[in-house]
Amino acid sequence: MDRPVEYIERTRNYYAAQGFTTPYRWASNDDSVCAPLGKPLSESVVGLATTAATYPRKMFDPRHVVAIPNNELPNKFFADDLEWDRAATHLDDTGSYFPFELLCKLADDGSIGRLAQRSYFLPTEYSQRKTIESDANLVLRYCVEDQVDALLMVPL
Amino acid sequence: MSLISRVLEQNGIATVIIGSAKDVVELCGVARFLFTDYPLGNPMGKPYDREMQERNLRQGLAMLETVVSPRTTWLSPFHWDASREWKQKYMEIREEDRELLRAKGEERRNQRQSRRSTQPK
Repeated sequence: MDRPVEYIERTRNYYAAQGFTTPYRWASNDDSVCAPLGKPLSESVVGLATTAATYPRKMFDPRHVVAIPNNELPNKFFADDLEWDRAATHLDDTGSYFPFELLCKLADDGSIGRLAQRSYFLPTEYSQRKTIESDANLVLRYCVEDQVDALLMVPL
Repeated sequence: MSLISRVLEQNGIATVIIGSAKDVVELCGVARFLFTDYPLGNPMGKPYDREMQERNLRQGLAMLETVVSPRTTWLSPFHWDASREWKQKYMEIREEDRELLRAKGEERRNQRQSRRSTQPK
């Protein structure tokens, strides 16, 4: 079984088995845009984003986009409210979903221009309307403020 | 996160997603996607395997410089393990678990209802 897991079908079946009658509708788009980087990576400001949180959250707690200066990053992140494979793996190594140290190394060796001053924590928000109208515009504002040329996005 | 990447791209900021839910990301339609075929939770690679994580990172960053067409997916060459057992196990519905799943769903609906009824109007 080397095909990718079909998470949409798997998730629908799983929640149907729990008695939920209205299946979640994942975002679906026919169109897509690709902005060119426009300069070498070695001259670019690169930002880092993950879906993990910097504060503990439970399933129904409000979820907030957060930007944190890199010199104030916590040692631990939180993802108890997110769907990830708790049976197959763990989140003890933050580098497995938030490659901050490696990006610092790539900045040091000149592979990237520099890291953005802040990192971004973008919890999965199940309302697509809120994601587009609120969260995305906030992230865009943060990226402009931080002069980000390219954003590396790592969803759990 | 995929939806947010689309808004950034529309505003001139290049993005790359490194992730493991291929169907979800591709359905949303993003610019650049490095698919790492691993259990959800460790899209950069196995915990503490810095070599695997760094090579995935470098591949993802390479997409930023080379990819100019939207909906481009690259596949990481690294496998999680030989068994692939995790692919079958995730959200697996076994007959003997059905009653437990129904109870879990009921508990969740009750929690949600309780939370709604205690929220200020």
